[in-house]
Amino acid sequence: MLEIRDLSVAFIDGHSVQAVEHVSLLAEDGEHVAIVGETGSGKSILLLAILGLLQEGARVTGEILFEGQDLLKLSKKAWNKVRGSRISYVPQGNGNGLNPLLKIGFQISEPMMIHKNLPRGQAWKKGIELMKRFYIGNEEQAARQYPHTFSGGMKQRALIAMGIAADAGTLLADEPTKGLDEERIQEVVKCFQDLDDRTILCVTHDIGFAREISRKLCVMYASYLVEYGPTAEVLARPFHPYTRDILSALPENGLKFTAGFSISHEDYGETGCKYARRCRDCFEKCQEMPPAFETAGRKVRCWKYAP
Amino acid sequence: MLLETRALSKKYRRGGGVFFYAADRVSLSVSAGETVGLLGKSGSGKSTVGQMIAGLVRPFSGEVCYKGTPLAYPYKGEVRRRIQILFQHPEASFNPVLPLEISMREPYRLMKKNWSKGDILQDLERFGLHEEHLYRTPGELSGGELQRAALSRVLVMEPELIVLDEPTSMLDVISQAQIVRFLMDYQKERGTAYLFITHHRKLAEQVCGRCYEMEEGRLA
Repeated sequence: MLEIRDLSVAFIDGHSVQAVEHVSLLAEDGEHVAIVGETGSGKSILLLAILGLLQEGARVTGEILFEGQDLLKLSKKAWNKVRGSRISYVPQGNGNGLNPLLKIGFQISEPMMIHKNLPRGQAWKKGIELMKRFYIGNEEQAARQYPHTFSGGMKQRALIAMGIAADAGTLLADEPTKGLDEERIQEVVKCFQDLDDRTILCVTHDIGFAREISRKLCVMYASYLVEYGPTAEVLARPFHPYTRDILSALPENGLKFTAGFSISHEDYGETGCKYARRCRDCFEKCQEMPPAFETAGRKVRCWKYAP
Repeated sequence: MLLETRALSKKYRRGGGVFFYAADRVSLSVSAGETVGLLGKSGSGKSTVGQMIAGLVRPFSGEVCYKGTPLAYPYKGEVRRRIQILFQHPEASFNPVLPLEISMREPYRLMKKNWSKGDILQDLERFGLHEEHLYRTPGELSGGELQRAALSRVLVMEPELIVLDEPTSMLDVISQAQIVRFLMDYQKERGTAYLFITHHRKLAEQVCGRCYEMEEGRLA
């Protein structure tokens, strides 16, 4: 179980920037939670904070309870034991997640050699089994190849295989479908659905993907969690104006989005609701940042849902 | 007809002396002020066709005709300006060590057009970017911001045809809607034609007047 309580992350270099503010969420064992939001909303920083991989100079407050233990109180050494073997990270497939100079098979077996002390040969064999499980195809040969010979979808699946190689029960995935075409996205969906025994926290901007893999959905905007609830319900009947705007910006709903370009720095500085500048339903009360109101089994940060 | 390709082909060596056709006799046409979709899975050859049209890749056979005249590779003169391409990966469009301001000057320099910081800012402000962004390097900007800067740089050339090679597949839904809305408004105002390369069928249905589909290098 992974529970985040009132987590805030601030970067202090010259001027202080709040990247994550008062985020609380809960992923129970075996539950898949998706976090959606646009660029700059703080969703990737949230993942890195949970992994303890933020740069020096980041100030993290709040609690991250992982199986009853507060990860923020761990020493660096204790952290290294948790990371990789109990919580692992699946980076973006098109990014720098794979080392271009090492064979795929070695990269998948490496976590097993490090965290489970398996000898190289045994780890390699297990790596090939994992590749089979994630439909990489022609595994014996593929394991001996280098990342540049893999397509985007194959790289992403190899990264997921790496993520669970050391048998971590909790996976944190960052944009696993970015840049993939529909068919490849379906392959990643299948991988995630097969992992129903693991807890997954997945950052994505693909609403369709979030719908298919997650039970709970968090919508982030400008460092705040603005809506949090069961995925199917949130997507069928969105409460927060921002969630509604995201859904109407989808191609199938006509790409409607009229408000200004992306989150600006004003959104971070002011004391009012971060979405007020772009919101269509904004009213007087919005000069003040709303707390998270609980309504119909969801948490919504919008004054419209004040009891 | 603004642009027409006639049996455009490109073959690549696959190793072991085996060749394969990335594009195989592709004939398509785009009229002025029109948005034409080019749909296909990854690896179907749609980007190769886009790059041949933009004059970045030498066709193996066939020709690209612009306003009825066949174009020779490499493109020279006016046409180089009039056909532009916007890439999928915005971070690859910019030199990673230069601040945005220097990258944004390039089209002015190439066109031998006088420029000032005011012009660049005016270009960028249409896209919600400001002076503070000019001093940052590409690594310090988000994907959406970079893609908008790339589009702004393309528009300086006053193109008549833009090859949009998966312009929004790396972006979130809101950035996508904004860029697509901007492109549609710009087309209404200026009559620019687009060849919209995408794998996203629903997006193509929304944006394009008509669509070509590619499969294994051929138009289906």
